[in-house]
Amino acid sequence: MNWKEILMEDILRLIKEKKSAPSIRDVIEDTKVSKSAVKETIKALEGKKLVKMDKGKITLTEKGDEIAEAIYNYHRATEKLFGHKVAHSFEHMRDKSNYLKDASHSTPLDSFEEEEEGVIVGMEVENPKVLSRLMGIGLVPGIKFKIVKNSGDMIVLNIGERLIMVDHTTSGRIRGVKSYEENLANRPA
Amino acid sequence: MKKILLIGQPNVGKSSLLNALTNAKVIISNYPGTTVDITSGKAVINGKEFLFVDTPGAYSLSPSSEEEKITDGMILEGDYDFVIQIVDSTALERSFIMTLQLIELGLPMIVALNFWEDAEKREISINRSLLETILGVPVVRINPVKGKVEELKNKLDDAKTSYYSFFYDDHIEFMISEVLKKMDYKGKASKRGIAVKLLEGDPVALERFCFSELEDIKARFIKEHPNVNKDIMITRAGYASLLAKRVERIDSRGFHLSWLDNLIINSTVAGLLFTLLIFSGIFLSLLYLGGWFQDFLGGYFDSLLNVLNPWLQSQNYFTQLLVENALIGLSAGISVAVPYIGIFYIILALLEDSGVLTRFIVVLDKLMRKIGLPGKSVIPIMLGFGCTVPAIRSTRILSDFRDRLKVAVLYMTVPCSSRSGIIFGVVGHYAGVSYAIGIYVVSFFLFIITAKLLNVAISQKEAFLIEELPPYRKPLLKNIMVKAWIRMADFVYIVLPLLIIGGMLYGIVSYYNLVDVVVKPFSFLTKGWLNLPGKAIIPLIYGFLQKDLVPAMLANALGTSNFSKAMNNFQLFTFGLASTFQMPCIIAFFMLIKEFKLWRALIIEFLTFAYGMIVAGGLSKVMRLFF
Repeated sequence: MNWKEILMEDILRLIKEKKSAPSIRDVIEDTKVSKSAVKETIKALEGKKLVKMDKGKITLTEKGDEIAEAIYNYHRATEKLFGHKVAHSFEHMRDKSNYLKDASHSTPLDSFEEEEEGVIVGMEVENPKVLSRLMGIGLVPGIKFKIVKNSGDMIVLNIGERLIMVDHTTSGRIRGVKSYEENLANRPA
Repeated sequence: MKKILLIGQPNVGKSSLLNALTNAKVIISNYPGTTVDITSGKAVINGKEFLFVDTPGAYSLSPSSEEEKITDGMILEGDYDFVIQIVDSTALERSFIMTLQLIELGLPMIVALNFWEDAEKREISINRSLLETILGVPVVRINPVKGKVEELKNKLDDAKTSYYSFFYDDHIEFMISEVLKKMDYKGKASKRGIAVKLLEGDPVALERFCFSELEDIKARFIKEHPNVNKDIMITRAGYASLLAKRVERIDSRGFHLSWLDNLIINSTVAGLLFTLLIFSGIFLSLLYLGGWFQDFLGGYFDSLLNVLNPWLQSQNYFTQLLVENALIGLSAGISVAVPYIGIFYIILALLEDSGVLTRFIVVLDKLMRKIGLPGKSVIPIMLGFGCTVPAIRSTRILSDFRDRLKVAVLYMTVPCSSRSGIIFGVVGHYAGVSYAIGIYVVSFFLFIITAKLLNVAISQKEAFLIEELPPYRKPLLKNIMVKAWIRMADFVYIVLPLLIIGGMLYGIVSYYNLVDVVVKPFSFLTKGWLNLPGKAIIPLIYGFLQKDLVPAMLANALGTSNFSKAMNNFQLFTFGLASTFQMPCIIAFFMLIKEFKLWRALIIEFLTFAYGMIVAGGLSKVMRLFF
């Protein structure tokens, strides 16, 4: 993904984030990119019929709004998962996009059937002991898993050929989405 | 001499590395103020002397168990020159969380990649030189099981503080700078690292470096970061994940399972059968192998006594009694306890190192939960079959205090190898194997009943279970022997002297004819309730001092070592029950005090004694009705 595409995504997200339509100046401030680059990118977005300029403010078209919505949700998801600082590096990684866009439709791990595969997209764990154990053992957001056993009392997950057992209560607080076949084709290089 | 900490996740090969570096010449010491064993060893490498210190396996430096607190504490204490982090090449991402924590603390370090051959097999390729460039610390490959540690040995002088840096979001960074202003810290770690740990709520750091304004700083940012510890952890995990993505390429994304896991985890019946098979294997090897060793060593001691006999006869009666009983004590320890405990610990180390032990948690989880214990308690309970003393300590792996207490009480129904010695040596030998098995059956049911009763007395709280089932690995004989020895060392150094002292004490008691003084007041218990010969109280009481000596004391008290002459089979069975379901011995008592405080230890002692006597007497009365 080149910088131009990244900037396009950032601009679309920004319009969605701001309560009122941003000006070119707002975009420059937020992205810390040069004025010419911003102008050029907005032109390109206009060409794609995703945004239009309206009295110096950038607004989304219907088509643009749809895409921006997806990007925005995705950004929120990554930020929640990896922290604000890392989110930017993560969200432009293509391999994760498909399932992270579905993060809002996630279900708790204990609702997965045996043999089902998925990706962890969220954790509602507040206990720091539990959280640090989960992360240390490799149950981090974005990781792929396969359910080996779901006995009702606990689940056994396969993560990168490692077996991890998680009790019922904790597994109910970890959320995942089912992974699709096409994700496997898009590995990071 | 340079002191080096070996740190890493559980099962990552820390002790193998220690053994490989020091040629298995390790010593065991106690971590000050705790009961955790720390192994260490010295070695001369390239002409320089090094002291390597193993740390308890920790998933990260944000402790989630008592053991992880020890590791965190050792790191924060700063009593070392540098750290070697052993990293599992097949699970880089999660190991990097700890790497980043070490970097954050600004500690000089070396990263050692273990299991890299496994990683290659699974098509995970790691760009080692890129990682070295990013972090600025030596990154070496090791295979301690095969003794390949040369790369590491050659880099021991190159440990460095990493120049890699990473930041949290602006508010957290501001909080860090606020903490830095107020914090007063001088030590090995970087101030920033300590500040982050304080904000993260690290219990060890808080205990050592907490200051009054810390909560105010947190409170000021409660809106932006209601849960700053979570945000820090998540951001760090995010960086770890990014770092892993930069340096590794994973071409296989399969979810393969070994055939054994397929069998025992997917099928409950197969799992239970497998567990039963292993358990009976342990039982049989204890019975036969242990018995064989017992005969062999016992014979050796008998002949030693015979050799000494002429000399003993020439001494006065008091010395005679003293020396003879001291020798009986020593002989009981070496010929009864050492074989059973030794064999048990070797088997246990084998199960642990091969990765089988944790599978029992999965298989037995349901059963344990039914009786109100977490699945993980299988491990300390199994250890209880060896010796209650280290087993009490091992309850630390359970995160909830109440669960630990429950398991500690339950040890009275789990025959340790000393009590197994009584069951085999007294009951099995003189009343028959079926009576011995009968005692085990009774203990199994009593275990379940007691656990249920304890649920009423000690309220239940659900503890978390997040545990890895480590990959199966071929265990290395040397490592197994070292591990078994580490567990046995306590026994040999503490229990054997106690046995000798105990033997001498009995000598004194019989010299001054104090036996009757003890026997009479208790005859209501022995004769009345248990229906045993009055003198049987001596070995029963002696059980508190040392259960290994019970058979020898019984022989002394009854005046014959052919117990069938003095007691019938039912009496032998009752005696077996009464000495099996007993209060923990004196060493276990001290361990109980250490772990659970004096008042709880006293309650456990008295309650279990009463409970055991009620059960043994009650059962003997019931049996009398039927036979």
